[in-house]
Amino acid sequence: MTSTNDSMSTPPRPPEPSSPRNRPTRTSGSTPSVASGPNSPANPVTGGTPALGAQPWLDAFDARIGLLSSNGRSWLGPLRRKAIGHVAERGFPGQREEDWRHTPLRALLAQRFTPAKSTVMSAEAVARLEELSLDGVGAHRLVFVNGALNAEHTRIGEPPEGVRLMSLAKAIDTESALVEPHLARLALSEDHAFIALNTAFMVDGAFIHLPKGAQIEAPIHIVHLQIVDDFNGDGGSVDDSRSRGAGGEVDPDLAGGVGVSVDGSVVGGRDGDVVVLPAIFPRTLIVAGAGSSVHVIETYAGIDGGAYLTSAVTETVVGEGADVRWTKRQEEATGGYHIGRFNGRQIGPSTLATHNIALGGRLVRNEFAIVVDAENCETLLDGLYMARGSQHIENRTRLDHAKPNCHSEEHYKGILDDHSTAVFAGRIYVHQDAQKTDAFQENSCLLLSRDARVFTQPQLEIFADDVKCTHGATVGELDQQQLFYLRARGLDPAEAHGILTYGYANEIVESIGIEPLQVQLEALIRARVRASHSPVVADGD
Amino acid sequence: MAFLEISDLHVSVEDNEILKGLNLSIGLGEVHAIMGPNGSGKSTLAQVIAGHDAYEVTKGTIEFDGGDLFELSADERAREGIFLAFQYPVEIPGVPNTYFLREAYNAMRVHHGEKPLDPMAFIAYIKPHMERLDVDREMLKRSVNVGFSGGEKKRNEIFQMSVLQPRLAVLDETDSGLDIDALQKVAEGVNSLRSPDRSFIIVTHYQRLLNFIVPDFVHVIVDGRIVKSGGKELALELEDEGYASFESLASESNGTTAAIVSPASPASLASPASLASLASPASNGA
Repeated sequence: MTSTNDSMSTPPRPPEPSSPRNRPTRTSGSTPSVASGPNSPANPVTGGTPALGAQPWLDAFDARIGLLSSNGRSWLGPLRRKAIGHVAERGFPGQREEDWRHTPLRALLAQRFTPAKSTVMSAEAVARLEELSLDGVGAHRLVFVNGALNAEHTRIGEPPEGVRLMSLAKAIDTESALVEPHLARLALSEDHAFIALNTAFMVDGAFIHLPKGAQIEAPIHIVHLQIVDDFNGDGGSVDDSRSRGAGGEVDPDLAGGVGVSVDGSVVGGRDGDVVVLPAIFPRTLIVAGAGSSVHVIETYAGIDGGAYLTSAVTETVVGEGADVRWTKRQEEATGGYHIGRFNGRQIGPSTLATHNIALGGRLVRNEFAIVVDAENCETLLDGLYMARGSQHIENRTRLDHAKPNCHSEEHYKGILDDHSTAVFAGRIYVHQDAQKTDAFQENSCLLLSRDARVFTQPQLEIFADDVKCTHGATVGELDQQQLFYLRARGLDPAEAHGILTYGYANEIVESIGIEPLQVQLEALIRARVRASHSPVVADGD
Repeated sequence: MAFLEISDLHVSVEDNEILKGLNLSIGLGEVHAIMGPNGSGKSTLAQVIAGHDAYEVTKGTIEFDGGDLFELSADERAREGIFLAFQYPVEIPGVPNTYFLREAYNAMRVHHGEKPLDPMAFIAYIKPHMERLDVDREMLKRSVNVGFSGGEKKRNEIFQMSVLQPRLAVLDETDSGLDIDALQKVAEGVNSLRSPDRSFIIVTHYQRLLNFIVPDFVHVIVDGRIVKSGGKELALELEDEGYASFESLASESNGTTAAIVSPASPASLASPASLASLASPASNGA
C-alpha cells in the first residue's frame, strides 16, 4: 500500500455535510464547492463530490478493496462499499452535531491517517503483553497487532463443544453463515464515519459464537496491541508535539477546520512533510445462544510512541437465559486516539453486564448502545475513567428499554486531574411498551485539579407511565468523615486523599469479578493516584 | 507530669460550649474510665484528644508525653501513638481492610525511622493479632467496615489498635450496640493489650463494659466537667444510683448554670442516624 495520495489533509471544512441527522441549519443545496482537494476525483460511490475529509479514505479503500474483500464472501464486499459510501456522503462528525459537541475532534481530523499494517512484536510489545496477561485464570487469549491476528501469541484452549472461538477473518472464511446474519447489524455505518470506517477497513478481530447452553468458564481475553514504532514504511516518524498541543485547545468555531494545523498553516500545502499515521480497526462479534455464559475482556493497549487512531467496534447479541459479561480495558498510548463502539442487544430474558475502564489515550470516546429487547432482562453498565494531562475521555451510553419488566443499573465514575476533560452522556430511553422498567443511573466525578472539566448529561426519555427511573450526577470532593478516620490512623492528608481516591475508583473495579484483572487494575490505579495531585486541604488544627 | 495532663479544658462546637473546664491526669499504664450521661461531653473529650477539627479549644491545655498536644495534627498524634477507637467506625468503600491498615502501620514505622513492611511481611506481622481477635482473611479482604455488622466494626477497631500498638488508646463507647458475646470478645482484646507502656481512656455510658475491662480509675463527667473521681467501685455506685445524683453535684459546682442536663435520649445512643454525629458534632454535644 502506498500513502502518497492518502492525504487526509484537505482545505478548511465546509459547513455541515448534508444529512437528515444533522441539525437543519443548512440545506443540502448549500454545500459549498470547496468540499474536496484539488486532485479529488468524484465520489466513486455516490458519483457526487465526496464530503470533507473523506477523499483520502476513498483512495485508500480503492487501493485495498481487492485485498479486503478477498475473504471471498459475496456479502462482505457490498457491506464494505456501503460503509465507505456513508463516509463519502457524510464525511466526519463535527461539533455542530449535538452528540459531538464536546468531542475535540479537531486535532484528530487535522491528522492524516491510513489503515495500519500489521507488524512484528517487539520485545517491548511482548513484555507489555505479559503485563496484561490473565493466564492466572486460564483465559483464552486472542492477540491482534494493529488489527491483525498474531498467531504466535494467541492461545485458545479447549472451549466447550460447539463453541466457535476464532479470529473473525477465519470465521468469515469458514463460518460465514454464522457471521453474516450478525455482522454490522447493530453497529451501523449510518451512525458516523468512525463506525463506517471500521466496517470498510476491518482486517480481523474476534468471533465468539456460543451455541445453546454453552458455558465458557475461563474468560476470553482479546488483546488489541497498537504498535506505532514500527509503522514507518508508509509515513515515517510522528511529530507528536504538534498534535499533542492540539488536544487541549478547542475552538468551537474552528472545530470543523479539518486540514488546518494548530499553528495555522495549511497542512495540505506541504504534503511531502506531512506525517501519515496508522489507523487500526479492531472488530469483535459475540453471539451468545440461549442459556450460554461468557466473560469477554477486550484490552486495548498502545506501545508508547507516536500518534495513531483506534476505531473499534464490538457487537453482541444476547440470547434467552444467557449471561454475557463484557469488560473493556483501555490503555492506549499517550498519543492514541480511541473511538470505540459497543453494541448490545438482549433478545431474550438475559443478563448483560459491561465494565468500561478507560485509562489511556489522548482523545477517547466510548459509545455504548444497548437495546433491551425482551422482558425480564438485567443490564449493567459500569465505567471508570481516569484522565490527566490534556486527556479527553468521553463516555456516551444509550440504553433502550424496549420491553417491560426489566432492570438496569449504570454506575460511571471519573477522576480528573491536571487540565483533562471528560464527558458523560447517559441516555436511557424507555419505550412506551416498557412498563415496570426499573432503571438506575449514576455518574460521579472527582476533580483533583481546578483546571479539570467534566460535562455530565443524564438524559432520561420516558414514554411509559409505570416505571421507576432515577439518576444522579455529582461532581465533588472527598468525604470529610472518611478523611478524618484515615488521619486518625496516622495517614497524612495527601495519603488519606490518595487512599480515598483509590477506593472511589476501586469500587468499580471490584465488581468486574476476575481477580488477576482486578489486581492489575488496582495496582495501576494506585500508581496513578499516587502520581496525581491531592487537593489542598486545610490542616486539621 | 503525668503521661496525659488535661488542664482547665474548654471546648466549643459552633459557639456551644461543651467542655467547661475539665481536668484529668492519666499516668502511663493506667486505665481510666470516663462515664457520664448523654451530652455530658465525654465523646467530645475523645474527639478533641484525637484532633478532630470541628471542636474548638477555647481555653486550657493538654500535655501529652511532656509536649503540647495541640501542636500536633490528627495524623501526627496518631503516628505519635494516640489511637481513637471510633464510636461509629467509618465505612470506606473500595479500600481493602489490609491495604488500609498496612498504609497506616507503615506511616507510623516511617515516622519512627523504620522501613515500611512489604505486603508479605505485613501479613506475617498481623497474623497473631488476627488470631487473637478472631479476624479472618475474608474480613481483611473486604473494604474497610463496609457491610460489617456492628460487632465486626468494633472488633475491627480493636484489631487496628492491636496492630498499631498505640501508647494512648481512647475507646469511645466501644460497647454501644454490642451483644454480650461481642462485648466479651472486644474486652478480651483490650485486656490483652494492657501494658505498663500503654494508657487507656474508656468512654462509656454503661457500667457493663467495666465488668470486663476493669479500670484503675473511674471519672464521672457531667455538663462538661469531671464531678467525681474514684476507683472501680465508683462505676458500681453509678449502676445503683444512676447519674441523677451526680447531676446535682454538677449544678452545685456550677453556680451560674441552673439547668440540669436532661436525661439521656436513648435514640442518640443507639440509632444509626447518629453516624452523622461526627459530621455535625452539635448534635453530639448538645
